Amino acid sequence: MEEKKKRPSVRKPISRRFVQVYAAVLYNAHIRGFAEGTIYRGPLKTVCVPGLNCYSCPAAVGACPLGALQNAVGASASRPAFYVIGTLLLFGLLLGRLICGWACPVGLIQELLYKIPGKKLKKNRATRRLSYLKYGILAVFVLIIPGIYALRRVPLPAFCKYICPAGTLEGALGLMLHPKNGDLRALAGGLFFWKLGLMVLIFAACVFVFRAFCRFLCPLGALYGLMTKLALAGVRVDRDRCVDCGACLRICPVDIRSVGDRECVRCGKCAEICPCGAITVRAGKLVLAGPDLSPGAEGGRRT
Amino acid sequence: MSGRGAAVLRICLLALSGVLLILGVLNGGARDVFAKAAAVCSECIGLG
Repeated sequence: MEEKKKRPSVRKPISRRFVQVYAAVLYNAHIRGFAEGTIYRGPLKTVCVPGLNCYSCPAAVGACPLGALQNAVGASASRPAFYVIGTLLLFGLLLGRLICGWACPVGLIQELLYKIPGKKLKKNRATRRLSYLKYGILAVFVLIIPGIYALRRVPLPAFCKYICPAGTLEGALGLMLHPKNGDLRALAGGLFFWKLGLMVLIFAACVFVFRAFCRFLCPLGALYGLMTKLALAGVRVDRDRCVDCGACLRICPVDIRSVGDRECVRCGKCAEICPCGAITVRAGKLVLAGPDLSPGAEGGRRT
Repeated sequence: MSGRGAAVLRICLLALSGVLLILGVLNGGARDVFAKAAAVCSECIGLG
């Protein structure tokens, strides 16, 4: 049997944390909105950002793709949702779940919360089962409920209304904590406190479970995950170098079955740990994490 | 799916996404996104 190639030199990876922070700041560049207690109303709001970011955040400069999708489904009886579907298809095909790992502000918040010291729950059979929940939430809260209400010509973005912690954190708290928005605070009722409690619960879980919201609840991640096989950006495994040691599966903090599958958020931990340098996270030709591929390794398979 | 098949499908879907975006701008879908995003979303902030 031909001997496996030695581990190639690892190029210094692009800092994922830097890209995450940069994306979060870019999505929320209207900082003065926090000082004014109002939201940005300029033309950029026509464009959806790729990651989950509430458009009612005072600093948000773009539209939330998930909120836009629910509202487009809600209006689909009168107008087909071409624009939002086209946008999500484009994001999914170009970047896929790379968005979750590199360009989602809610993902960044969850990872920072996970840095709080304490006992951590590692992935197991239960978390793997729970990871299917987000597909149910995508179907029920993003498509079915808004779709049923669309027939009655009543818009109901059910995920935004009942679940989304980004809306509560960025939108609700961002607006309501401003002194001039006393009228909004006065309107806060049972629904607000339900969402507030749920947000606290979700973010508390993120202290103990890596990206709990992302893995179990986020319908946007579920949607991008469904396109993962076709996404231009992804994880490539060089089968010539791989020795099937399983280090990648053990180090992975999410519920993957194989490297680069639909649960993978392209964090690149597997590429860092791989003893053979067989794994790269790539966006087209750009290597984001892992070794610089030699010409002989170009035959690597993208999963 | 073979690598070539996936590449062809990806290109077709990318073209489709472009067509959908253009249709969406023409049918007013982009305007709807703006209208929703440029106003405070009461559902998002838990007010109803």
